[in-house]
Amino acid sequence: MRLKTAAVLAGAMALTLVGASPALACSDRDAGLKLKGSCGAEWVVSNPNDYQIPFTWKDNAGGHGSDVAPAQGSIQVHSTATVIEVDAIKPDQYNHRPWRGHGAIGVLHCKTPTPTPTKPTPTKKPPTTHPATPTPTKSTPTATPTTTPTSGSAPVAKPVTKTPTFTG
Amino acid sequence: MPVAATRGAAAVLALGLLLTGCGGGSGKKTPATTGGSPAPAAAATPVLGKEPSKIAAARVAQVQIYANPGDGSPSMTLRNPNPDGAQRVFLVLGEQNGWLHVLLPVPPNGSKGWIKAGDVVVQTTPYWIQVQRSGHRLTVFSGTSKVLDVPAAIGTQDTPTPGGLYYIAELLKAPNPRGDYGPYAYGLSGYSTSLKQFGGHDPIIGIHGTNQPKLVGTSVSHGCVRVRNDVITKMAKMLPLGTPVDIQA
Repeated sequence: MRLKTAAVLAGAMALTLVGASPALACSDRDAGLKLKGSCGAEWVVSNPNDYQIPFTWKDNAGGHGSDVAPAQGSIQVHSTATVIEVDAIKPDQYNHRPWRGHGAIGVLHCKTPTPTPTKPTPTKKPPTTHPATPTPTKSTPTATPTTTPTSGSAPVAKPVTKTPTFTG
Repeated sequence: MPVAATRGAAAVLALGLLLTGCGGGSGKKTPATTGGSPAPAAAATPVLGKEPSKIAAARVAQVQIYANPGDGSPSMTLRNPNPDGAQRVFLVLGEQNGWLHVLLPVPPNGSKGWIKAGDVVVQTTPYWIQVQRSGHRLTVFSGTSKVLDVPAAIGTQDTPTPGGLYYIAELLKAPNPRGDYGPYAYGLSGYSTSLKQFGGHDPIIGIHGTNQPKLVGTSVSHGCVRVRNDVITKMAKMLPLGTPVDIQA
């Protein structure tokens, strides 16, 4: 795969990189996806465009998958491998036709495996404003306050040009 | 209590009622849970205006919906983008061990389900919309601050605007900005409770502009909420997909 690559040597916390490639004959413009990673942490794919870009990824540890990079945002790829490739898919076509050569590759050089840093989760006290209720006799899954990391503020909605058919 | 805070509290109350099966304009239906998904704990319900709402934006081509977190097979699948080409989003109600409890854009109104956190990107917004049907008003809040407070048209008695908690599922830009829907139209996650279909399509409730501005402030629509074109244009430049919409009596 002729993708522009770059690597940054580092120790236990290596930083990377980079790369998008106009190398192959292709009339489409570059997707411009960027990769950033550090040893032991998941890769992050950034998309500088004002539209989302679906992509596929595979790493040197046998991992692979597909995701969508949000417009002018970034997402984590569930891979902590040292080498990863992403291939953009045309954002206006969801037939998974590759945007050939327009992806990115990231390489890490880690001296020693670094465990994924873990942060202690602060213990949240349950709300005390609710009156006492009978203890459920049946174990049912219940939602708890969201702790999933957020990716910042949601962007303003991008309109789709189409005649509405709502109830009017 | 400040007005905004009062309204925020009212929204919380309305939401609480919705989640306990007593709320919404329909008032007669227990909010559905997809495949028997239990209602979330009270602590998991979003508090409109008190804290930013969490929006889950799909990052996979097909979002699997599960009745319970950890289920082996999904109860339904929703495509991303949606049939109109908009990114699939959900309003997050809570979380459990890598699973998100979300409001679904499917009938019946109030349907909920669980999705895998890894299938989405979670973002936040301080914005939320309140529609007061009795007052024919639409108010856009940022937190507890009013950003817009304008008259709105709602559904007729025969085709009422259904109450409850919804969210903005899509934004359409009308090819003809002078048409019935004005320049922009939001599709909500809710559906008419009186119509089986509208023009051959699912009777999705919307918030949109109008070419009959004199009717704004009256009960005239088939269920949608109509505002002036300048208002919907302001909203279109401000609000993200997933913005909560609280339709009150």
